[in-house]
Amino acid sequence: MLDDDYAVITEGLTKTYGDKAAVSHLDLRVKKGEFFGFLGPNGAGKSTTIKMLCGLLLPTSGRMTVLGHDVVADPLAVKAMIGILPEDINTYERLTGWELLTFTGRMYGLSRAEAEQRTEQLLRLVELNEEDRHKLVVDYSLGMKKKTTLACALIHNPKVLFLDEPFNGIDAITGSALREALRRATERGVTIFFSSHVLEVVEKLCTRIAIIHKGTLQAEGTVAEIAAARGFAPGTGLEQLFVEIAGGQVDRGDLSWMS
Amino acid sequence: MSQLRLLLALRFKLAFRLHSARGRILSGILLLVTLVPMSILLAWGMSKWFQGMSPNLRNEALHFLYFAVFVVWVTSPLLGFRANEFFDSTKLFVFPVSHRTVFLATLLGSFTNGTLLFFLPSMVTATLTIREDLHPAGGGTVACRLLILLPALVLVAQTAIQCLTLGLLNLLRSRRFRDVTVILAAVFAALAYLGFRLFVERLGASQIVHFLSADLSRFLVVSPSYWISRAMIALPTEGVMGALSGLVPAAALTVALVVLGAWLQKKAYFGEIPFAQSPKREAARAKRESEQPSSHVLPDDVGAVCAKELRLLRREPAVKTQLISQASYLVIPIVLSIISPHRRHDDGDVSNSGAVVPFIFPGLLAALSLAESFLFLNLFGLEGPGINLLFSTPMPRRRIFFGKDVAYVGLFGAVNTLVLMVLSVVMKFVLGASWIETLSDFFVFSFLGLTLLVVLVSLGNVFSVLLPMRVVARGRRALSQQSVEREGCAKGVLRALSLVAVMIYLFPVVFLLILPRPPISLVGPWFYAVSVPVAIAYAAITWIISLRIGESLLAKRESRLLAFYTASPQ
Repeated sequence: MLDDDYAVITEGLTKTYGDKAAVSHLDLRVKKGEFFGFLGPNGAGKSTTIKMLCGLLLPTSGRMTVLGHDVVADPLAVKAMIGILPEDINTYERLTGWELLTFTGRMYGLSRAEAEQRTEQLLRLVELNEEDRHKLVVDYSLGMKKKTTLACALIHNPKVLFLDEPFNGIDAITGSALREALRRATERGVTIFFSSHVLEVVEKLCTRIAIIHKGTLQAEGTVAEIAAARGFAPGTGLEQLFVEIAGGQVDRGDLSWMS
Repeated sequence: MSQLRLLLALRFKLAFRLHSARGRILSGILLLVTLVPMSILLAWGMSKWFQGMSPNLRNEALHFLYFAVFVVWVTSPLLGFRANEFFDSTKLFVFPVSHRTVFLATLLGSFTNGTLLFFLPSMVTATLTIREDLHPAGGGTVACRLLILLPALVLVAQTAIQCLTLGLLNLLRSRRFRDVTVILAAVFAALAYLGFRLFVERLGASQIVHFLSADLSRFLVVSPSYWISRAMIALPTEGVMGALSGLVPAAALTVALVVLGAWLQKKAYFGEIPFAQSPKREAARAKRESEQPSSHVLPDDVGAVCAKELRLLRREPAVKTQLISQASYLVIPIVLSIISPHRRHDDGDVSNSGAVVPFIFPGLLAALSLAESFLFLNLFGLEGPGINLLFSTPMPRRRIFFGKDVAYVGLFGAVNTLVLMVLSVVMKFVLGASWIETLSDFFVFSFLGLTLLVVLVSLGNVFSVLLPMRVVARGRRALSQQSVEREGCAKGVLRALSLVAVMIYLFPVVFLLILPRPPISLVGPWFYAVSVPVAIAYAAITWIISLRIGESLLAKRESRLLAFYTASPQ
């Protein structure tokens, strides 16, 4: 396949802090229109990778492109085409949900009227009611913040979406509506780079996955491909695969008192 | 350009939001109608003050004025970092906006900082007095030239702010700094208040002249503010060339700061923020604190509540803030009056205020108790949403009060005793009191202090349930103080009445222990043999009864308290 067919490419992507490698020589290729699951236990390097791909963190070494643009050399071009839902929401909490969305839309170059129209539609999609959308974001619950930030990531109709734990704190009904919206987006050619601990959702939504552990890529492909490559029986579930690849044995101590 | 416009609009909106969100419009208007006339009045006063000085003193005063305002301009955005989200430029980095645009927007936005606008009129009026040496009747050209120089100071200050904000970004965003700024703001307010009192009450005009005559401005030569004030002073007498000697280094520094700021902005843009927090160090510190030996004197559950309460009291900045502000109004003036009992009068007489000495211990103790009463009468105030966990335990509620009471009385009893100990040393070695007098005062008032705290915490067991007040609002600390203040008129009156009731209830203890003290001395020291046990019994009975009442009240109001403390502040 040509490089043009890929939305995200990383080659030898590395990020170190002192002598500790948060991400080490990561090679990834995510096709356009793919719903790509990026999995790993806490501290595996998922968020660091996503930050680097979004131009929010400079890699120590390696190369990465998003839709053909080098992220380090041309971060503005990349940011204009992507939508980001970071794990740690760092946004303007003294704006209302409505104001935050229209501001975001206009920062991406939408006209005021267009930004307001899309704000209205997106707030309806994430089910933020009339009263809540005019509250300050600081007064929102985690779920409401997540919904608003997700709407911010969608407002400019990005070509690639980087979603870090998007369904964390979101209720089942909104979650279902969002999953449907994201699935439809991939049908229209939007690429979704998706990180989540909820493996059922990943298994249901993602066309391909990658598992990262201690900063190193452990496996990449469809669930069936990974299972076959690792010698698991056909039909092995993602959870079992994930635990085997990234979990290992965890020392749980003496919990005999929990009888 | 459109992004820059949007960012500047955002800057104004966020600054305005500090005062204009629901319920704060009135406080915003009040702030405006208070600060604008204050700024104008200050400018007028500064002009009059400068005009009344000889040229040499005026030059000295100008150096100090410029330096003081420069320091305030540079430090105030750091202290206000948590309050105005625009200072945290990392929030913009997700957008397709260049780091240059972000840098320019934050730099331009900083020209509308409140402290800059507040002090600018004073700087203008003080500066314009310089021209009168050469042109008493006018000198419009000189005035214009002087005013052209003033933005140099503004520029160097704003670029310094940019560099400091970006260089310290991680520190400024940290929880510990947020806590420290809350305390620092209280310390600065207290210092400003005490400084004002000192200025008004102690320093005469002659001492200010003496200070300015000492040519202390030579210590400011390394400050950019000095370079510019020197250029200002040189301009009317030595002309443009004279002014350049100050302006050139200031301009060079400004350029250097712009380059450094832009570089720091670029680093931050790619996630490389200097002085990154060390979660390991933070965790190690918390671990060290957690490993401190726990008390085995108290029952386990009571000991756990007590230990938790002590940690909250130690870590919660709101406690320190309140104590500092209370202390600055109540405790420190008393201490100041003790340290300098000889007061200077306008006619030069010096009168001995030794007559106040017998009231020093009781006065200080009263001030301490009053300062601490806001915590004692609001025992659940520090819980915040954590009250969920406390009330979800099956622990008998009187034991919760027990644990809290021990923590409060133990901690503040120790603090008060320490303050009284320091006071005793002052009494002995500064005021020359006798050992007997000093020790007797120390023991009597330490005992009285402890007894008062026991009675106070007993009343707190009741009032904390009846009149809860939120002190902590996690995650939006900058707003929490306002939410405390907006509790409504009726509740405010009730709180004031409760304080009166507390004072009345405390009176017997005070009466029993003060009666044999000079200058009252209605009975002999033998009276302590009766009064001390009675005071102890009074405090103990009050405490035991209060545990029962508190528990019974809590049983009826627990859900109401839960809703109150876990609700999002408006």
